[in-house]
Amino acid sequence: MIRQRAAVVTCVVIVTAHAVLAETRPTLNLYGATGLIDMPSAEAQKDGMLSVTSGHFGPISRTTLSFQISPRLSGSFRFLGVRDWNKRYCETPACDGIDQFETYYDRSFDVRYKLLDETRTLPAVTIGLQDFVGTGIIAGEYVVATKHVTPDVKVSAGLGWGRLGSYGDIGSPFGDRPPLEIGKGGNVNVDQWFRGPAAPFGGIEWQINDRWTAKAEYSSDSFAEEAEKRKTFDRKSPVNFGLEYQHKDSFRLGGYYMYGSTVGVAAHFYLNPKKRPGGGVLVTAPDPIKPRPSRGANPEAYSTTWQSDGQSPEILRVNLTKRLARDGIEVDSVRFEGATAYLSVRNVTNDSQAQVIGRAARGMSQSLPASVEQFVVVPVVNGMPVSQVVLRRSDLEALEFDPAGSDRLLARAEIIAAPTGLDAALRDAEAYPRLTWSLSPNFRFRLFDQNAPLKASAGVRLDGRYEVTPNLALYGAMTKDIISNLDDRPPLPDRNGLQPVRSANYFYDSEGDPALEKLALMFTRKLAPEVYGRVSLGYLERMFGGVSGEVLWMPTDKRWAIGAEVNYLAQRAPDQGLGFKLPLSMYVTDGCTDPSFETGKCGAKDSYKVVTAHVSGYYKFDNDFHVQVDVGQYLAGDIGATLSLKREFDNGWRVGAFVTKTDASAEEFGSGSFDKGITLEIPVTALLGKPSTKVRTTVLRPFGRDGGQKPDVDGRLYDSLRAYRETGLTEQWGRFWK
Amino acid sequence: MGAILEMTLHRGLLILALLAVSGCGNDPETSQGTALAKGFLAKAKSAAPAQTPLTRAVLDQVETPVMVARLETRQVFALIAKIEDNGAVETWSTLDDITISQSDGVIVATRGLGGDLMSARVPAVFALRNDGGRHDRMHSFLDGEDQPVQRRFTCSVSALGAETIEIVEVKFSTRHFVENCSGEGVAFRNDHWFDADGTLRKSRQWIGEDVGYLVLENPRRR
Repeated sequence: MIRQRAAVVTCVVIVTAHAVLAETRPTLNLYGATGLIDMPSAEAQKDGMLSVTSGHFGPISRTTLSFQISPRLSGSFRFLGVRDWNKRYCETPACDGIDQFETYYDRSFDVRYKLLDETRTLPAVTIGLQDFVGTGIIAGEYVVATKHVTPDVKVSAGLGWGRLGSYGDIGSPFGDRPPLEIGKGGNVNVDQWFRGPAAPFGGIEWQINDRWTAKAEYSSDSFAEEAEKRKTFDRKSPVNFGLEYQHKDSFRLGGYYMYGSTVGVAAHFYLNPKKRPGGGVLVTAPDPIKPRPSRGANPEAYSTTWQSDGQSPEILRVNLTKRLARDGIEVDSVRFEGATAYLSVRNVTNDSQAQVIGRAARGMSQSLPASVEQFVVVPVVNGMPVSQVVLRRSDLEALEFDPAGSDRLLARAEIIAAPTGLDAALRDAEAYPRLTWSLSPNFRFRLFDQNAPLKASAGVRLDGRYEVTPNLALYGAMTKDIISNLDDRPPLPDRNGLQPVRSANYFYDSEGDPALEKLALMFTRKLAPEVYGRVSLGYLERMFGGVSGEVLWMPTDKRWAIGAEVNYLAQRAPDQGLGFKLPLSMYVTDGCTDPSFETGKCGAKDSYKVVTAHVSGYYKFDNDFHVQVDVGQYLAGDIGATLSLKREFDNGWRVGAFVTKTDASAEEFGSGSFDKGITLEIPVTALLGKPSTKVRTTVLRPFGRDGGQKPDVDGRLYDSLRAYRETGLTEQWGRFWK
Repeated sequence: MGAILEMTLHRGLLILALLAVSGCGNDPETSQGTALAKGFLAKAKSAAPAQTPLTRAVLDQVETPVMVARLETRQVFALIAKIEDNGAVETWSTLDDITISQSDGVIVATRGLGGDLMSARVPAVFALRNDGGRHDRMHSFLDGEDQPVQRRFTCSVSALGAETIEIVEVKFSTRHFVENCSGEGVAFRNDHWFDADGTLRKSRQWIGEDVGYLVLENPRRR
């Protein structure tokens, strides 16, 4: 019986060897990976594509975020839930341990690499690892090939191991699979890869038209745990069928008949960071360049007497300030020196720094007398001038309508480091002090806390910022929930001796209403042409207050930077008022219900102070990847290092992953063994189609624990400044003329 | 109990909704949530309000030389006036800061329309009334990552003959020429109507895939 099925699949592979190559859409499976229904295929999504898949059948639900990291490499992060986990079966006597939850939740990471692209005669080939650092419950490896047999029909066939080799295997070609060492999870199970029984799988996909696709597959997954042992559903057949509907490029819905007994549904949401909704960013037109009359025709226009008449420079400053305010640019200072005008500016609303420079230059062209031939635009952040963009006015005049105007202008522009302090210049004496504030909706989420996939609160948030000088600001934020279910107590696993620096977040969620999220004083200063400094003091974040100091060495024209940060912090009370006295209640866990300050039971301390310190190195590769390494001491007093890798799109989207390994042991850390996660930064411009400097940042961690955690301090230098160094200014240089 | 909870919930939602619509504060970039909500609201009601048609009586009151610009995809029109000259290129602007830059009536750039034409290499205007003539075009746009993308087209011109057109209640006798362009999987057709002296009276020009066609009319009496 089993051999027969294998033979069928082999036949399919032979049939595929036709010379057909076609452009069908690569689709996703219920695991959120590129594939058929429950099985993978060898195709890849478009480079940079992000997708969120919610796939369900019988008792099994999977929610997956997938990212096509490069044209060949992709990764997925998944939450898995299996309902009725202990309804018919308990492994442990009292239905505790792994059996204590009605629904079993797990997280997993996949990676896959496309080895070969499809050609006219040969299939695409992909190798993949499923759940390779999780607890390994759904771990499997595969090699799969996909080939179009007609322009609309593609066939996939592959060989799976682990979970994907559990039904209809053909033996163990690479030896036995050693038992899984789960430990606290998070181990990379290298010893297991491609070991043990291997089983063939395969399927066929027919793209009927632009919208509809039919799929059929033969699955090599026996669901040993879910179906055979725990009887959460009845796996009657290895064959699955499905029909999928595509709506535009962004949404896909599928209905399935799974394993001969149950129905399934899947919804896929696609996001392409490389595309903006509605085409370009909608901004009002800039002032055009105002060309100067030729010197021969109008020599008087080139007179320089205005520089010394005592009034003109100040009038020009006021005019420029008014003109650029419409473009979301604030004039910090203006200085004239012979034929050069220096203009330092603060960006208020623009997502693109090149657009700030371009509009500042056009404003100067409109406002300044003809004798000024060179424009120097200096972006300033928190009182720190970052770089100087030197432009020749005659280049601007000549290239405004040049077919390749932005490239040609960049070739003639110069971007150099700004000096430590700007020379005495004309500025608005009344610009400081100033207060800005806003009242806005506030949302907070808790994902997959074992009891529910999502808990959330919605409320209001008051933000304020009082800038005493450009370098010195007092900032704060208060929040108040209106609707919330974050008060529902999630399971609270033991802290194993580490201070609950993050894992007590449930207490901060439920007791901090209203909450003084932050209130701190920040002082920033440029220390040398390539060195910047920051000191912050106060309630720095939800859980910690204290003093934070940072120094950053960031040459303007290089791709690297090095920084150091030292913080002396005390843990804030969960009510997020002004106090630092910690309540006994926050030490309660499921395994330790009677903490005591006297005996230190459950690790209880009535206050917690810690020094965290890090040295950080940053490098931006020219292929859009960015790497950051931090080495130092973390919030729980543990010592180690963090590696973060990001794919950064020029328009501001960033998708990254990070791992932190410290001397906190896997036992101390708890589930997951060490800290890791995924970061997703979406510029608000991408969502609105209008310029904004804001970015929405989401951090997804499979396990939010206490090892390897850093404080969350506002105004960190590298992130505030790097958009204004050469790589930041030039990555969207096309926006100069927008 | 249930009723009270429901009321709080409703009141809460109302406050949120109000905040989302109005937001408040003096921060030029009010918080993200507010901006997002506003953005989506703006999108939801983006159907263009019906404009009152332009009449000659209204036009006669405008003293500066103006042209009528119509954006077909968005079904709107506006009067544009010249605000700057740079060499051969004139930049014309609407009151709400949309600009169209043209060289003898041939559009070389737009700003303020979203998916703008950033720059272009276009034929001289006389080439567009050269029956049987051929030329190249290049339109440069910004892609979703703000990188310049240059798209090239080859075009041919053919005459459709004499045609009387009406621009804001006044009739003009013109010669109608068509410019057919294609390249990189895109094909478009521009139309040009010339006065007897060879100046462009009216045109319908393709800007790009996002913006579509822009119609420019010169309503000035001879």
